[in-house]
Amino acid sequence: MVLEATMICIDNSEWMRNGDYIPSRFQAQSDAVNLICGAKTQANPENTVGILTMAGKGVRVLATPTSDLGKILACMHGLEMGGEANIAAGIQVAQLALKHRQNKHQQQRIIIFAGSPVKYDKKALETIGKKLKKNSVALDIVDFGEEDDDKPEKLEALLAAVNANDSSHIVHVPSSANALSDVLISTPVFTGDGEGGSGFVAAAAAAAASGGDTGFDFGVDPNIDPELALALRVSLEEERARQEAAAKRAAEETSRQEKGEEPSSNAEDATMEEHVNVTAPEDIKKVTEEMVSGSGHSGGDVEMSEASAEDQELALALQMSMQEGTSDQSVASKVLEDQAFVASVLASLPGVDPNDPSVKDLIASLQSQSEATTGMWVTDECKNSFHEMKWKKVHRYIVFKIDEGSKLVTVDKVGGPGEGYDELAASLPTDDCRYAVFDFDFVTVDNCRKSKIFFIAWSPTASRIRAKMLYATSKDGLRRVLDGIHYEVQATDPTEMGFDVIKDRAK
Amino acid sequence: MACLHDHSCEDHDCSTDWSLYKHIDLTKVTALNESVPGSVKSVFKAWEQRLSSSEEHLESNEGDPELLVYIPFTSDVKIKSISIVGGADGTSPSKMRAFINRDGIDFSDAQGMQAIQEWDLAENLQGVLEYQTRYSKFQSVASITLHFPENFGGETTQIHYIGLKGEATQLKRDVVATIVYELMPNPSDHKARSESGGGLSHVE
Repeated sequence: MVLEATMICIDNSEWMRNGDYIPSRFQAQSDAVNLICGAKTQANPENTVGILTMAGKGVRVLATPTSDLGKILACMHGLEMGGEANIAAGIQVAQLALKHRQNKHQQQRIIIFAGSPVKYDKKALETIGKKLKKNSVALDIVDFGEEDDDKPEKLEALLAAVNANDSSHIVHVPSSANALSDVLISTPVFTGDGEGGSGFVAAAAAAAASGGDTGFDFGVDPNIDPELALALRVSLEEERARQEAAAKRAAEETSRQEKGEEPSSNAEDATMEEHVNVTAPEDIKKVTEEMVSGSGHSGGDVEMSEASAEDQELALALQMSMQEGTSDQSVASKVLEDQAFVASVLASLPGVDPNDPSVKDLIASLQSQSEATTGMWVTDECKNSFHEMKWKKVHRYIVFKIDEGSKLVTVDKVGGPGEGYDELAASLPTDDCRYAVFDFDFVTVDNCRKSKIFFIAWSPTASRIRAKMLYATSKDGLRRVLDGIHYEVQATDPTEMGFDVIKDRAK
Repeated sequence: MACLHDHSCEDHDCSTDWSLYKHIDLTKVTALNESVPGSVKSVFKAWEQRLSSSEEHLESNEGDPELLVYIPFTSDVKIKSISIVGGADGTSPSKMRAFINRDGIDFSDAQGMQAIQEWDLAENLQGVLEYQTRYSKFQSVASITLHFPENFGGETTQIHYIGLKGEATQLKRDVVATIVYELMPNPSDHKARSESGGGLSHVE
C-alpha cells in the first residue's frame, strides 16, 4: 500500500500503428494503461495517476496526477498517432508534473511505454536516469514494439542509472499472441514491488476473462472465500510435498545402501534433547547437520543403522526445508508445519517412533521458530464456537488451548451465557498458557446496552518457556481467524486481567 | 559526559542542550540523493553518540556530493545553532544552506531559491564546532531543510551527525492534517452493528 503519484508516458508515434500486437500496438498500449491506472488507484485510494503523450506535435500532458479514474480514462479517448516519440523530453515533463503533485508525501514514479526506436544515446539516457535517482523518482520501463539492436541495452542502461533499491523495473514484451496487458499483469509494473497488487490483479484477471491463471491458482478469489482458497492451496502443496518426499526417500535408499553407516541412536537422541530448546533456524540447521554427522559415530548395531538412516533422511528433509524456509515461505516448510502430515511421514518411517519425546520436541521447536502465523492450524471447532458466541450469544466465554503435539488450536472450555467473568478466570490454569475470548455485556453512561468481545492472552509467569513462546507466536494467527474482537488483553497474572481492567477498557 | 569544548562542563550539560533531536518527527525525515534509502534517520541521535561512526551514516551517491535533508518537527521549535559531523578524507560538507517551513523542496528548487541562511562549514570530525543561526529568523520552525551543495573534494559526502540546539515550544504550526474523504467505501471499515457484538444484549 505504498502512497504513490505516477505519471504514465504514452508513445503515440507513427510506429504504434503496427499490428504485431493484438489488436494494434496502440490499442494494446491503451488497454495496458487503463489497467495500470485501475491497479494503482485500487492499491491505495490516495494514489494519483497522470498521463502524458510523448509524440504527436510534442510532449503533451493529458492529465495531471489525479485519483479520478474516470478523468484518466476519458482523456485516453481520441488520441491521434503521429510524429516521433521524444523519450527524454517526456521523462523531464513527467518529472516536472510529479514535482508539482499536491500531496508531497507521495512517492514519485514514472511509467514509460517505449514502443518506438530510441534515438538518444546511452550517455544521455544515463544522465537522465541519474537525475531521476537523485530526486528519488522511480521508473518503470515497458519495452515493446520496435525491436532495435541496441534499444534493450539502452533501456537497461537507463534503468541501471535510475534504480535505487530495486524500486524501478523494466519489462521486455515481444510481440506474441498474448495481449500486452496480460503479460504486464504478472510483472512488478502492476504488482508494484510485490505488495498490494494481488487483490486488484485477481479482479482484473477475472474481468479480462482470459488467462485466469495469472491472478491466482484455483479460480477462487481469496477475498471472497479465503477458507476454500486456503484449503485448495494447502492440498496442492501437500500433494507436491508428498511427491517430493517420496522421490527423496527413493534417492536416500539408494545412497544409504552405498554408505552403510552404523550410527548410535543414543548419540542422536542425546544431541536431539540437548538442542531441543534452540530458537534460530541456523541452530536447527546445525542440529540436523550434527544429527547427520552424529550418525557417523561407531558403536551401533544393524537395527539402529536402519533407523538412523531414516533419521538422516528426515534430517536432510528438515535441513532442506530450513534452507528454503529462511528465504521465503516454501512448500516444504509449510508442509512441515502441518503436524498431521509430518506425523504420518514419521509413522511410515520404520524405526522412528513418533511418540518419542525427543522427536516430538524437535518438531515442536521447529515449528515454534518457523514463521508460525501462516502455518498454524485452527480447528473448525474453534471458529464455530466463536461464531456461535458472536452471533447466537450462546457462550459467555471460550478458552482455547494449543495442543503441543499436534500444533492445533482447540477449544478447551466453553462457558454458558449464565456464567460470569469469575468462572472464566477460574478456568485458566496458573501454570500453563491459554487464549480466551469473553463476551462482555454492559450499559454505557448514556444508557445504551453494548457488548464487546475481549481476547485475553493468558501467559502466567509460572508456565514453561516453551509454552509461552508457542502461545505468543501463534496468537496472531488465531486472532486473524477470530474476527470481530474489539479489545485484547495480555495477562501474566490474575491482576492484569481483573474484571476492573475489562470494565475500564470497555468504556 | 565529557564534551570536547574548551570550556568546563560543570556549569551546563551539553547533552541536554543538544536535545532538539527528541522533537524531530523521525518517520517523516527524508533525504534526497542518499545512497541508502532511510539512512538519514541515523544521523539524529544524542550528543554523546555523535562520534560513534560505527553505525549507519548518511552518504550521498557516488560522484555526486549534493545532499538535501528535510527535517520536520513534532512541534514548533526555535533553533539556536546547528552542529554537523562529516566524514573524513574530504567527504565532509563544505557549505550548508537552510530553508524553513517548506516541504517538498528538491534540488532544482534548492539551487534556485534564496536560503534563509547559509554557512561555510569546516571539517568538524570531533563535533566541537557549532554554527549559530540568526535566531530571529528561526523562531517558529515546523520543518527545516538543509541543503549541502559541496564538500571538501571527496567522491561522496558523508554526514555522521546533525545536532540542533534550541528550545521546543508546545505549539504546532498547521493543525489541519491532510484529510482524505473516502472515494470508495472499504467494507472492512464499516462493520455492521450486528457484527460488533449486537446492539442490544442481555445485561449481566
